[in-house]
Amino acid sequence: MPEHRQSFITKYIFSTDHKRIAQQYLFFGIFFLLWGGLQAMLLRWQIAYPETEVPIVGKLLFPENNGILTPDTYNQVLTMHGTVMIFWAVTPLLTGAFANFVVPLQIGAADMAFPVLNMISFWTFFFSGVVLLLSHYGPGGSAAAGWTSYPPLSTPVGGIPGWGQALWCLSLVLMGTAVIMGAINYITTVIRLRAPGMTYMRMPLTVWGIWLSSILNAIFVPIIAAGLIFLLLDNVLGTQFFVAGGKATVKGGDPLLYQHVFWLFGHPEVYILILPVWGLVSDLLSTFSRKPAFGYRVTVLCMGVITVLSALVWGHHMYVAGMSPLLGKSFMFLTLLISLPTSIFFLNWLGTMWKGSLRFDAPMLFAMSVVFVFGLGGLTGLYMGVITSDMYLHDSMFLVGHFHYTLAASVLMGSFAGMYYWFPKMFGRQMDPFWGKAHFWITFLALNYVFFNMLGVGYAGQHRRLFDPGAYDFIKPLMPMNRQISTAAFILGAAQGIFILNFVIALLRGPKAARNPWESATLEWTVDYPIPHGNFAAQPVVKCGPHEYSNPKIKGKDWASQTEDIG
Amino acid sequence: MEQALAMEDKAFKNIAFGKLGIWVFLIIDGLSFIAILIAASYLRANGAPWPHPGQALNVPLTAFNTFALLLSSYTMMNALEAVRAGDQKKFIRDLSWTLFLGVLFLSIQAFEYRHFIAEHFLPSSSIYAGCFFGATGFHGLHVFSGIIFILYVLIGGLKGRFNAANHLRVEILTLFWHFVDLMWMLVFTVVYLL
Repeated sequence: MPEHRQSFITKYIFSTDHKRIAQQYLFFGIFFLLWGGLQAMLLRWQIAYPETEVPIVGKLLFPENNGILTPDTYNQVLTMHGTVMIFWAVTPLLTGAFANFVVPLQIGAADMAFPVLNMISFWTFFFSGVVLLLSHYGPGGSAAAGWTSYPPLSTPVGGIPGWGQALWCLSLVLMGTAVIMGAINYITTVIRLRAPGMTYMRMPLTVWGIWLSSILNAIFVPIIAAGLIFLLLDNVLGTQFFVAGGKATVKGGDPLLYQHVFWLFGHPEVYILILPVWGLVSDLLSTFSRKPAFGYRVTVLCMGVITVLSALVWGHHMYVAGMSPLLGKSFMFLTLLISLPTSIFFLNWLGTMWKGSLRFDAPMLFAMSVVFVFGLGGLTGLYMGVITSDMYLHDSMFLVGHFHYTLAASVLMGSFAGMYYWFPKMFGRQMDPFWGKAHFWITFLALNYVFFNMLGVGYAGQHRRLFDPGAYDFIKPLMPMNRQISTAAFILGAAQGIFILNFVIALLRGPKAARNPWESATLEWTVDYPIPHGNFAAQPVVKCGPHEYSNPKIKGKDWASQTEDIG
Repeated sequence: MEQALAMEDKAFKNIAFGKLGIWVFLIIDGLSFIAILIAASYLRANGAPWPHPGQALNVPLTAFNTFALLLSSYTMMNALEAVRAGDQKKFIRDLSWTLFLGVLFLSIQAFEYRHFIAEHFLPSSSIYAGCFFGATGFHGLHVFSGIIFILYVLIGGLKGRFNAANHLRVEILTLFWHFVDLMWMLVFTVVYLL
């Protein structure tokens, strides 16, 4: 690609360089991660110390109530916490930052297939985030019907005043548009732009994960977009697609339709988020165990099978909504079927680490913790997949613990692994290893304390989404445990300060990173920072798989880059 | 850049990025249409009052409109053939016809909307009306973006940017326009005829 002159605006703001866009997504995602985290802290304060003044930030955020969270505000914060974390924090980190940065570099491409579309995608995403944040200041505040926004609560007959719900729908449709643009880009890039020799079975597992997750995005985001446009019409034009019963003025609407549409997207969304993490964890375990990924082909196959199965199980989110027993059992069967491929590549992860020369750098610690927390998330998932236990546990904190183990814990720890791992290539500097490990241990212990005990209080019967659990006699004995969870949550929140400080200090004056600090075999480590627009000086030619570690044919070192011919 | 990156895979070796991209997009977009139409059918099966064909909507007028859109697909195809053969004059002429028919389609639809609104047949008056406006409105947005796209290609064509060797944009436009036409067949069938 020829050198061309760039002004400040085309270089730093409206850049079409996938690496720059990845950085933009990274900062965007981290900002919303902190925003959603702050909301989680508010929620935990309210659950542990109901209706007392929130320390430090209370007076600042709710001056009209002396810093006390009101029930209405609580609902809004609860809704926005879920929405922000899923769609504006981890989505931009995984399918924005990492995917943008890693996919072209790991497959040996000069850029994405559609660089301009990539830029438009980011700015659409950015704009959707602005709409979401502004919805806090609209009449009536932000949306308050939960992150799932089930009708009729989320429609005008639900009794929640204001513009929040309409703006929520609008910002999600915009976000969906951005995600679809990204998905088209990743799918095309992987199909068309792989370097010579980079066959599908030589692609790093990260690329596999991102590619499969893009395919899921491409199929299911349009469906939720259609559903949300209809919910928007319900809110703005007064249609009643999702309204039934006494409040309905026209006949034939159905709230269950929304639930089906939502979860038809919502369940694949879980895999959209977790597939990139599975991919990068598989690669990282291999790199830091100095061993080839155990059962590479089987891992790919399992990820593919899960991609297909994920489309067929949405009903398990709706057992409690009432469902024909035959349909319920079918969904249950398909749901439990997913545990087979999951277990297989779980074993592949253990097989990768087995008897390896493990290096406990920060990315590896985070990757290993994903194995642990995802194991717990998967096992508790079985309780939710089986109708009989789900009936009891579905609306309890057990469910909250379960999906935080899979989404918050696994996806977040995976994102941290990725951030520590690619930071040297993204910014050319090295983060402090000691504080990286300190961040890991505090986060890991606090996070498990929080989510494991959520499982506990849920099993004991505490309902989710309660404003003040202490108001119920049967939950009163659980309040000490709730306070412990909250304390651990505050420690978890504070520990992220270590990460932010480490990140910012390394960004400004960290030691310069070597070209390949982790001795990794994939293509992005063959180029020096700063990587020019166009990435590779000469077209790389791939001669071996992505995990050539400790191959006895390699002399003098224990790894071979994908461009090396090992015979 | 496209030529520089040789690919060893046979399957997609000769397909341009833009074409692969638009195919992926059309699949995605088609799923949105299908989601809307299935939702409408579900609500109907759920007991929403649904008028008989022709009772609420003007089927003959829309049948004419459908014919216009079909015809525009035909002229679009001719325009592509012309640019492939290097016949600039025919290309511009047929593309202009496509533009005219697209605008005609939208105008008739706007006329229909105005008529309904005057009769107080609004999205909020019944589930059926909501589905009608939702599905046709979503499709209308596609026709509108298609018209913008045609204008863009037409201006490029008038400047002589497309020829027998270089007409990827025209091919992408053709794919999109045919898709919009195909989706109208589905919308017309589900909303007007069934």
